[in-house]
Amino acid sequence: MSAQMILIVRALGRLCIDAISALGRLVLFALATLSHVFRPPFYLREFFTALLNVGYLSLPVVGLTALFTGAALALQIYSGGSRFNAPEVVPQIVAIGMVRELGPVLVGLMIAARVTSSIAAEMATMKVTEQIDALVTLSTAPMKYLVMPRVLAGLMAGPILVAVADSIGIFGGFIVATQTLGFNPATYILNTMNFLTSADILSSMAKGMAFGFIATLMGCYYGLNSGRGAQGVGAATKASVQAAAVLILAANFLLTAVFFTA
Amino acid sequence: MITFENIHKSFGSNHVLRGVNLTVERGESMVIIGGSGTGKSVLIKTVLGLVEPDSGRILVDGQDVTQVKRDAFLSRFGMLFQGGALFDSMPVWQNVAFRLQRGALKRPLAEAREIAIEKLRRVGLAPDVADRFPAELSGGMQKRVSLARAIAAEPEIIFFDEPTTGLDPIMSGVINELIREIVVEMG
Repeated sequence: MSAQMILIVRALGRLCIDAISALGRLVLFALATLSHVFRPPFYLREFFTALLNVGYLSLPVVGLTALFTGAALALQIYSGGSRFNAPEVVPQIVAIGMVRELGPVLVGLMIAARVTSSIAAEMATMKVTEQIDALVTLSTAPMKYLVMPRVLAGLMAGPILVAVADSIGIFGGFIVATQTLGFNPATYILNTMNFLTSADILSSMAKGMAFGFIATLMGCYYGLNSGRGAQGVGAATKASVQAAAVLILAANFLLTAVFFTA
Repeated sequence: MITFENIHKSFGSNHVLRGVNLTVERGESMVIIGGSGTGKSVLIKTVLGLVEPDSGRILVDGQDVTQVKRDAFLSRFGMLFQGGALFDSMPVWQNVAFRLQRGALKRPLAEAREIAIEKLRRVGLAPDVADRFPAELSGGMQKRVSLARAIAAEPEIIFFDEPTTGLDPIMSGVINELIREIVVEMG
């Protein structure tokens, strides 16, 4: 084996080891966070503040994204369906598309953009300015005070946001279909209701929960492990959003495989 | 009494603490002076568990700091950080009364606020500062608030990590004088 080849293999090996150790650290961090869920003390005020930030304040962006996506989906399905003489499948496909895939994924990505970045930047700034150290010296565990309330809020707000996104997305499709494509409103609603199953809705909620967890966890993980100075805060924020977005899409694939191919 | 026994700490190739042996007796005030990056802050942080030494032992009143109950142990300490390290998401009085709002030292809200205002007065700040946010204060005022927070729960041991960093000479003198007074008061 040539020296150049050895260098390439060595670099690949180092990359693999780094990736596996990063994954290991992340898993340990997630387990440590979850281990705090049932152990007092509980910081209720921090939890409700986080719930407000993750859930309620995300509603406008989630709602608008879902509305336009549902509307565009209806137009696309109508246009695509017409090629097979099946434009009438709009209500069914909009419903299944929004509930099974687009609703959860859009919510996940919106939370990653809005919440993950904000958590990471806030915590990284706290770390850089020694506020995390100050917390520890004041007998308060950062995992319990900062991480757990946010992750728990993500777990709870995720499904609620997905339910909102699903509903508004379907409503967006309904508006376009009934106002511009000539669908009968009552028939549209009936077709939507008849086509969706409880498994669709449950899978949507489960995805929301998983994506809420991933988004908030990534923000906390990268924030608490940020480098020094303004550059460290920027790098942590960027890395947290990238990781959250990729993990959400990967988790979406896995969950879809589990729910719909088993 | 705090005892450092052969403490070593490195950050990569930077060997910051090289076998520190030091004893600080009860009631004693000790000042550590040194250039930037010589490990003064790191030494303090090893006692509080914020930095783990590579080797050596730290004893507080004969007890190894790694073997103690963290909450009870940390409640014996107050710390003034270099940059103040005030929580910018909460008003000044909540910063000062942070320890009095949760955990073993928890007090009713009104009482905690009253203590915070009293401590603020002690460091020369008016009560109306209590409801302002740290970002609205000058550097000197932030240091005073941080000092008030360090003494709020009346700890046995207080660490001052470069308390006058970033302050002008007049404000540095004021903070130094305050620290001297508080140290004398608290014995």
